[in-house]
Amino acid sequence: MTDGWRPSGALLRAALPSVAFTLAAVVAGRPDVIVLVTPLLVFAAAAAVRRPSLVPRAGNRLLHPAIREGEGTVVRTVIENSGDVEHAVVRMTPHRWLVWRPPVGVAGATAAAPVTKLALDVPVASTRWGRRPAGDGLVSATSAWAGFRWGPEPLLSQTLTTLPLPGRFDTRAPTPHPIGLVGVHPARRVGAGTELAEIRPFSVGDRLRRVQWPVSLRTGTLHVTSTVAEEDSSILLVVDSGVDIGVGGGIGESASSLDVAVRAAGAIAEHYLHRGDRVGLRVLGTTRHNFAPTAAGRRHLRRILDTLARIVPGENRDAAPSRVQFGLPAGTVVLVLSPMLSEQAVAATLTLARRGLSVVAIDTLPDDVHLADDDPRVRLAWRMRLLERDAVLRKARAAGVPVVAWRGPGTLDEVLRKLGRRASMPRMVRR
Amino acid sequence: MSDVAARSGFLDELSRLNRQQWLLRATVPGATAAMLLTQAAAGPDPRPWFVLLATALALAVAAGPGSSTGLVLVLLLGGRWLVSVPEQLTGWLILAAASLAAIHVAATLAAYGPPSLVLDRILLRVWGRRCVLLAAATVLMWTVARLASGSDLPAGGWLLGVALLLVVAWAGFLHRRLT
Repeated sequence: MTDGWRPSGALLRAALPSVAFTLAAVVAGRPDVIVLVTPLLVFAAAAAVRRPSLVPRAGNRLLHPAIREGEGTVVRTVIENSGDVEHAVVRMTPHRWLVWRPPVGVAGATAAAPVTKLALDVPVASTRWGRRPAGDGLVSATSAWAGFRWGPEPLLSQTLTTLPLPGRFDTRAPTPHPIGLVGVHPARRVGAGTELAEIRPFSVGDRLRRVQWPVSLRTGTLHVTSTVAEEDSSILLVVDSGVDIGVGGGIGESASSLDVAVRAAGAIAEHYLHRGDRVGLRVLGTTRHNFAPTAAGRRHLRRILDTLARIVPGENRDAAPSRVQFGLPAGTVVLVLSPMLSEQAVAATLTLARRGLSVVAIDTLPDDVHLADDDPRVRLAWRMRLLERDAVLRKARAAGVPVVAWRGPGTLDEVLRKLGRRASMPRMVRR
Repeated sequence: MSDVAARSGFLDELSRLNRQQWLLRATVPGATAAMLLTQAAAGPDPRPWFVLLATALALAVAAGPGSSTGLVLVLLLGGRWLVSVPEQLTGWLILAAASLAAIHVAATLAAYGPPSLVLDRILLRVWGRRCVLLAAATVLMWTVARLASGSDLPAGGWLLGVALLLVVAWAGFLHRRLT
């Protein structure tokens, strides 16, 4: 017998009775019994004659190893050496946040004619960001007349990266400390730009096209228009993955605090990177892949989304915030996305604020946190936790860290304007 | 604990049956009932315990078409025809053969994959042609048997020997192919 193929139950069900009854019919002289088992005789003969000789090999791959939340891809299982395969079935192992089509993750394919490769496609969609196994399952094949069966053989799992679908975000407020070379944020210095700074007397080196003719004629001396320089800014996103409050139900469903933080971070990064700013990412509470350097460009957005997708909630709650090296250039605006329920996030926020950086805390605690337990003690504990959180938020505000709840577009408008005004005022910084 | 888990897993599987699988699996007890009625029409009525046993086996095959219960059911039904039904080449024989074939083919199709598998049209078309072939072979064999019985061939030891030789050759062929 060829390795891998073995007689099916159908072949045994046809072969054994056909032999037994034919023998009995001959011995007993009963031609009617031979007629009775003729279908089984034909079936067994046809299946046995078509005994497979090629041993199939199966492998699988994801057509798109990285997709966005709510998007789908295809797990393609390819059976090679499939010349003797008439029908193949693949069954995918169910995983949370993965939706198969058909929902049970079972698909079959029939080779109408002998082919060397038989492919089975099972569409799958991911409903929540993250990295998770997909494509593991079992595959089996059947020869002609269902006489022999190969498998079920296990399929190796592939890693499907689901990038967070950035929420809607937009801000018209300039960042407080533009520090780069070119960009769209009005800087504190005068230079080439579009926004009017002042009209001043002409000096050597001014361009003639900057001459302000109406003022020059009225005053009798040459005046020029000067503009505010436009620079890019540096943004650091700090995502707190130490705690995850609420139930993340996937895209379109209820969102946990980490869902809100991750999608908000993606939206903010996408917004600023499209405007030419530099964005960095630091994940608190995740041991590996917790850092994306501050850089610009569309490819960097993919890097940030990939880092966000690798977040594992509550993986590391013991890292000392004072030891976290942020490596921030001066003028960086730090946006901390956190429900402000972990000591690490609160300490990191206050530490950054004490360094004189512009820090904004974005509160990602969902409005509708449903406690799974109806126990009044649990509800009391949760109320106490919220009171503690209120105290922490007051402490952060007292340290000069504005706290805003994430509400999508316009979330940062007011606080960034206030930070911009505050940045132009003298202040004392404790180092 | 593992038994409970296995049982609940089995029930979960059954709950995922699609319409096609329901139809295929329902064919097994249906064809078994047809076979029993045919046997009753062609010979003595089957005993109640036999009917109960056949029904139970048919339901077991419907629940697990890939199991070896189907082999027991086919042997049981064929054995009763051999033992209890008198020799005849009437239309009832064709009906009985069709019922036996229906049990076998329905169980074969239902066992192609998990209960949630929907067999595609290409495969169903292929099996439609195969069923026609099985039916044609059965009718041909029935016709040959009727002609042979009508021509009143002389009985002899050599004929029995040739038939036995053919059966042994058939068994040897299957043994070689299956092992």
